[in-house]
Amino acid sequence: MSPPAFDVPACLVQVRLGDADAARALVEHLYPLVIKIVRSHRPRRTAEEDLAQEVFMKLFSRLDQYHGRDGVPLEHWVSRVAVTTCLDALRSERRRPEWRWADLGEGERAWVEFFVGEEPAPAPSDTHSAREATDRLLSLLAPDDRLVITLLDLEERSVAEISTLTGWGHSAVKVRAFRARQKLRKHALQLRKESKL
Amino acid sequence: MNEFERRWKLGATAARADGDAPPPVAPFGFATRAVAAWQSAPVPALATLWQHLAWRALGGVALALAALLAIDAALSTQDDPLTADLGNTVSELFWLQE
Repeated sequence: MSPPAFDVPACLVQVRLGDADAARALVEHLYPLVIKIVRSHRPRRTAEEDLAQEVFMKLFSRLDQYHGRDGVPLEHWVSRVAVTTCLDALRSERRRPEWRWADLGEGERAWVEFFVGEEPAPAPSDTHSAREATDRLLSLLAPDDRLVITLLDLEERSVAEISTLTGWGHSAVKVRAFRARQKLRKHALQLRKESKL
Repeated sequence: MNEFERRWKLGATAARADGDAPPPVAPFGFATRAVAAWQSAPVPALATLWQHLAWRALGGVALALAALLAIDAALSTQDDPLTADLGNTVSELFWLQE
């Protein structure tokens, strides 16, 4: 027998009345969604639990702004709050990390070499290193650029979805993504250049 | 799509495959901590709200002022035939009395 579906509207009513049990149930229900977004977009130096907690605090304090009656599912609204919270955290980073070739593991180096290579070559097969290498290169980008590439390329979101999540226009998303990929290439080339020194 | 973009997309696909894990559940005590943090968060003071709203109020006043100045400037460039007549009448009355 499957567990009963979570009754979001009833839970929201209770949370708005200040019911702590309902609030805890809501956190448990939304945690997988929030933590997935936080893991994809958090600054490297920020603990994911701290950022997730910040997201939930914002959700609770802005709950009056969410009206399910206009057809927007709670999950969409939560995603938007989570993305903007992560973006704020990325923007508040004083400095972006600086990586040297020596900081990269063997698998990551193979991926960076592959990204900037011009000769035909098969892609490395190590998916974990791919994750590390892409995360590392993305961390070198400006927050907005990083966000758009993560959403578009890593999470395979559509331009329309990104537009809804961020509030940017469709063409702004496309232009930003194009420029961000150019910057990624520049960073990858810079990293590989160090390996030749 | 250029060669870098093609290769980057391959890397992104591989990175996605690494992240294909079942959705995590909240760690023990996380929900309690999050709710406690929310409930203990201070309610924004009246002064903070005022500071937040004051800029908007100032903006509104500045806009209204600019609109009034514009209207005034537009009116001052127009001829006002009544002013001269009224001035003449007053001065005539003044001289007649003397």
